[in-house]
Amino acid sequence: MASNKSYAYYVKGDKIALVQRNSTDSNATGESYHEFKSPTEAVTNGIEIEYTRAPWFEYDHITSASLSSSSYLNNSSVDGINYLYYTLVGSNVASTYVVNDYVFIKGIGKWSGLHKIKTSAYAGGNTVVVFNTRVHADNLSNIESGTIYYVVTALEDENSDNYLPF
Amino acid sequence: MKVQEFMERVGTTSTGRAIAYLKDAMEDMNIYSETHIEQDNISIVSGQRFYDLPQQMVKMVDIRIKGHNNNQDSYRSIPRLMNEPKIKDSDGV
Repeated sequence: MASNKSYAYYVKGDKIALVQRNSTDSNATGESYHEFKSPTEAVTNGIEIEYTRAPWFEYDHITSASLSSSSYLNNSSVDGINYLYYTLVGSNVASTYVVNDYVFIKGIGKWSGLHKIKTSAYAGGNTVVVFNTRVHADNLSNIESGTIYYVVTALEDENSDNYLPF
Repeated sequence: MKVQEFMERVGTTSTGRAIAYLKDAMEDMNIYSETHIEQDNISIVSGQRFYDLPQQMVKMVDIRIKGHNNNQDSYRSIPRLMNEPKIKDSDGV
């Protein structure tokens, strides 16, 4: 039977700090028994954040693509600038990702959010979609978990609808 | 209602400014009341304390952790600490 774990959080800048009570550590004794420290074990999708967002975009909750080892995000250098890009290995879905449209990504922390499509092409047997999102790192690891929602409408021009609840 | 209709009602021809005001208004609405709720999941990494919040988040409503004070792997709300714990860790900052 798994042992009970006890967590708490605090906010530091734009990040959430997750801590776990030391009482689950069998080596903890005395005063340290009730102290908090960083989480001691990995939990897939362990944190569930509920939040509000400004409704200036809406997305189709059903039409999505799951990230995996053959469908992942990484960074790509275009004219010396690193951008976030999406690769789908072995399929041509370039027409699904129209330049200047948006995608909404969930489940990957920092990269969760709205991303505008810069280029979209099918080459070498893979679909590669580059987003306008800048990546300030050269060696981003492949991001292979999360969901991309690619039917998104955003508030952009005079003809856009707003999505207010009235 | 379309942006064009908003612009006609307030008598402006500046599309960019109108859209900026609308976006500001929508953010303000969600600071004071919760009109649009979203939920996102992040995996816990062993030894990592800090995690990025979603870009589009306006206000945090709740934080739930899988397996917090239960053995059924269900999500339960966790408390917010008033002070930082004595045991420091910069992982994930």
